[in-house]
Amino acid sequence: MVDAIESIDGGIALFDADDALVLCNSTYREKLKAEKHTLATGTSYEEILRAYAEQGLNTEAKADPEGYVRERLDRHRRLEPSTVQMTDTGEWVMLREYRTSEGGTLIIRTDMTERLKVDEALRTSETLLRTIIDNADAEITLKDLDGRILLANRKFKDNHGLSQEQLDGKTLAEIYSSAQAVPFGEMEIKVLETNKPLTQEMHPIGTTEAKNYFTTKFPIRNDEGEITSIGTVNIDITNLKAAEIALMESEARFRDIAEAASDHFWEMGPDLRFSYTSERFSEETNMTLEDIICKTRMEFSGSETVNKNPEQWAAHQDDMENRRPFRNFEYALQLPNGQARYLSISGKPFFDRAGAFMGYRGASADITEYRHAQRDLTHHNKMESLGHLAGGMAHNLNNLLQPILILGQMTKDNLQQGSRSYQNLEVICRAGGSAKELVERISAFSRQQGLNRGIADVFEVVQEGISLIGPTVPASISFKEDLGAQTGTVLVDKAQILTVMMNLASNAIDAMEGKTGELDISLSRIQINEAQPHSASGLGSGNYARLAVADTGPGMDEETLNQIFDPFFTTKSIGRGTGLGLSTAFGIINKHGGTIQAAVNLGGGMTFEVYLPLGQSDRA
Amino acid sequence: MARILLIEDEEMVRYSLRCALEDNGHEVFEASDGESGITQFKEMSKAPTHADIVITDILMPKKHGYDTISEIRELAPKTKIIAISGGGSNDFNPKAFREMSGFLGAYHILSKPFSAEDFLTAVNDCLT
Repeated sequence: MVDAIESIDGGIALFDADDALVLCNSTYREKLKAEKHTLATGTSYEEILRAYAEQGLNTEAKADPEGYVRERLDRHRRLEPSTVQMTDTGEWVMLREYRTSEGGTLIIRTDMTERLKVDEALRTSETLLRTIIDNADAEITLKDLDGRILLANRKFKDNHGLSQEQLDGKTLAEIYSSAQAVPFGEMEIKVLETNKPLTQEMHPIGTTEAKNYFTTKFPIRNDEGEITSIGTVNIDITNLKAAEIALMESEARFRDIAEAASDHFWEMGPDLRFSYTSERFSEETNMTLEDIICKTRMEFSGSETVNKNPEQWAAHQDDMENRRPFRNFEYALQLPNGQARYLSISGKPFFDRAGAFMGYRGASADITEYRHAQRDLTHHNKMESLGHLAGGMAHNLNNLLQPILILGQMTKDNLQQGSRSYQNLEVICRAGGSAKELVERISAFSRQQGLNRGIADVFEVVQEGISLIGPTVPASISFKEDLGAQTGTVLVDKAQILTVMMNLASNAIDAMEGKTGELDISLSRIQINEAQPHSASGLGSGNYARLAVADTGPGMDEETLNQIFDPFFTTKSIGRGTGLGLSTAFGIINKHGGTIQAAVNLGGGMTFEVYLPLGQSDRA
Repeated sequence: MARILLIEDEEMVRYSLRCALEDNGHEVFEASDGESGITQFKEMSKAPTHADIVITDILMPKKHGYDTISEIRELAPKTKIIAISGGGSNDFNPKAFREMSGFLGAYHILSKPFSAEDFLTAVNDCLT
């Protein structure tokens, strides 16, 4: 029995019904620092207390020994289950008292110091945790298995405008409505069923704002592994979501623009191989993405194209290897169906945030039509030049042949028929006659060429002309167009009409002499009849396309105006004008059954008007 | 025998036509461009009558043949005019030359090079 008492970790003392000590263990004795006699059997509890208090072994006892004794005795009589006190050495002691069946009292004195340190540490760590939870930029709650809130952090309370008291022990359904709480309740059921954390994108409860949350719910288990509560973390991703949506919209916007544009867009990786081309490119070229992606431009253009212009390609390659932006690199693309398309490409290198080269991005325009028009025009100009050359030659040769033929004839007639000199002159005259015929044939050819008429939509012809004129308009001149799309059809040699347009436009640009000004091209339909005479002289009744080219240059005086369509007349300085442009234009338009006229604008500048008869089907 | 004014800028052409005319007994006055041609025509008009015939080239310096024709028609409506031309550019073809000269009032129109016979036939026709 004594051994048992001694083995207890703590002091133990037993008093009988009269409060006299029956026995105590050595720990009790030690802790009370009592002499053996004071703890002899039969010593009253009051005497023991007094001895303890008088030694000042307890902070309270030190201050007021009598009061301490009284209070302790009072508690002892009331049999307070437990009392915690601090000794003078700073130990925490818990006293527990139990009533024995005989009416005695068993006092167990336990040193609580270590226990209290653990509690303190626990409290500290709980405070730390609480601080973290309260400062987290997310709503954090802890609920029991019935969904009652056990804990909510500051963010949750702030967001919901609720106090701890309003939350404690409540469910979301009680705070808000059942309907609003349902999605969260469903998540919690799933967590309980699966025993696993669950994350979902949710709309937060209790707000009308369009907000997006990432909600994570997770089970919390006790030491036995049973789920005791459910934790919830709500992260507000509204801004992230908005940024994501903005990014998606921006991407969609640029994709739409790229697909709607008549140009194509492309991207190459750091290895200068295609990583992207806009859909339009595949549509127009009938090339599949496999034909393009992962190939270099040289590879997909074909060696035939590259070999035609090795220097240009080398310069292009050099640009890209040195990461230089490039503009209007033109090349031909051999399509799978054998057709050639001409492309003009521009691109710039792009780099990642760290400055590493990521590839090239750019646009390419299909300039095939432009190239063809240019080719037609070049051909036409060539033929026209040839015509002019032949015409000029014919004029000079005719003048040279005139004295040969006339004097030869006259001299021959003065000689005796059959003489050597007579025969010689006859050969000279025959040779002259043959030369005359040759010149006639050349002249006929030069007049004949170039007229290759076909029915065309005058709006399309004028548009094509504008596409040729556009690039030649200097930045100082604003270029305006007002074209009637429904003007009608004309029977024209398109290349010649384009020549006229180019000529009128270049005259207009020259007239403005590099100063700021306005070039205005308009196309409209006009009806001429006897009742409605028109300033366009010499035109019969009918419907005409009226093409006007107006400038804001200095205009011209009447004398000049009367001569402008004359051959070789020019107001330009030597070397700048041939004096044939407007006379050529005049000739071309006349051949088309139309007319061309010039007028000085009231506000300054000139307007050249071209009238071309519209097709029968276009008659109003 | 007629008094004839020959306006032609090409000296060799002028010489050859002068020979043909003089060999047939005509009196020939010369000018090498439209402007001096008009001056010469006015000078000749101080005599009792105008020149009987004016033969003029079309593409000439100083004054164009068409203008020369028009002016002479103004000055002396009865003087017969023969227009001669060697053709030229695409837009100055023989057809256009004939139409224009005829429109302006040239009595005969000859495309260079023409034969002595054709030339003298035209001149004689102007005198009948």
